Amino acid sequence: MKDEIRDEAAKRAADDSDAHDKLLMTRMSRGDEEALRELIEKHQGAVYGTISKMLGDPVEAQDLAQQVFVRVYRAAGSYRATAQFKTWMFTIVRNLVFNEHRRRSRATLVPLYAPENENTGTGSAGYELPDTANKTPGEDALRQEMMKAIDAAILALPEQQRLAIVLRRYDEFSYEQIAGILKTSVPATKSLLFRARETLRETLRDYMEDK
Amino acid sequence: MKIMRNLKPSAVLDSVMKDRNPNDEPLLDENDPVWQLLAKSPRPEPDAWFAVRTLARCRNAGLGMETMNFRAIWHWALGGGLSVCLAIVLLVPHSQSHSGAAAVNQQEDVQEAFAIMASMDTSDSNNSSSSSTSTWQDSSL
Repeated sequence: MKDEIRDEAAKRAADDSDAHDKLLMTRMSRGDEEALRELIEKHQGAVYGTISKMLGDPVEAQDLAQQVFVRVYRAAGSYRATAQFKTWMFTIVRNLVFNEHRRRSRATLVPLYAPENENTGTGSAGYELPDTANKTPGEDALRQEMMKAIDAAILALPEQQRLAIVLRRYDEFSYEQIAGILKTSVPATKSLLFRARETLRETLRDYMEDK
Repeated sequence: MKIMRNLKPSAVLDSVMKDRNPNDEPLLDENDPVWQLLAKSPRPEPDAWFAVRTLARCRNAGLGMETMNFRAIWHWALGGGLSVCLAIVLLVPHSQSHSGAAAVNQQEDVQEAFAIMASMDTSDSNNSSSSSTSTWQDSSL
């Protein structure tokens, strides 16, 4: 029940935001670059963050996130506001990410940087400085280790479950929106989320008991 | 419930999860320890120049090229397909009648050739009836 109330409130806020996005798309179709800039600045965090969580590779995530906006820009002329803009845009994200998974499953990729320096999950391609305020080095190391474990657990999920959990947890999408993006029904989406949580609960059991 | 209160959140969740199936309503997100744990690994943010680079890439890609191409391909495919169908409809009966006429002409040519051969044969037999070296009497023909 509480979930549904939250979904309803989020839906009302999303409606206003969606109308603004559609307006930006109309302006973009007329060649307004300022509208494109606004759209990128508004959604870059969600798009980049989701792709980064899905791939676990900040560099590849930057490239794919840029491709998403290029596709949005090029489709501005033919865009018809039949669905929510964000749902439509994240369908592009889904297609690109799943294609990338298929490409990766065919080829063995060797990272150019050493795994020790890999900053998975914290993003920004290793630009982020450690937050040393009010934390001892030991605490910081533990926090980093836990973040890596969480990201690894998310990456180990099947791709549909992974996208469902990332969209729900980090982007706060409603079940209907996730169902629209994954092209499934709402009960199927709930089932995906349930199974993803079950797997994560099992994988991250040690960290939950440490809380 | 009092017993449950003394347990760790994960242990409480374990006991609840045992009796659940995937079609049930999910637990409240806020009360789910998994949900709380995931918050400890926040979503990565792009760097400060991401928007500028993306804007430049979009500018290079050009507006509406993708949709224009699809429309153009669709129109050309439809137009081309109709043209090919029309050409087939117009050309097939014509070629059939043409080949029919050619066959009739060929038959006439053959008949004419036989007639010439027959006339040559009769003239030969009139001129030298005892000759047996005529090529027209060759049994292989």
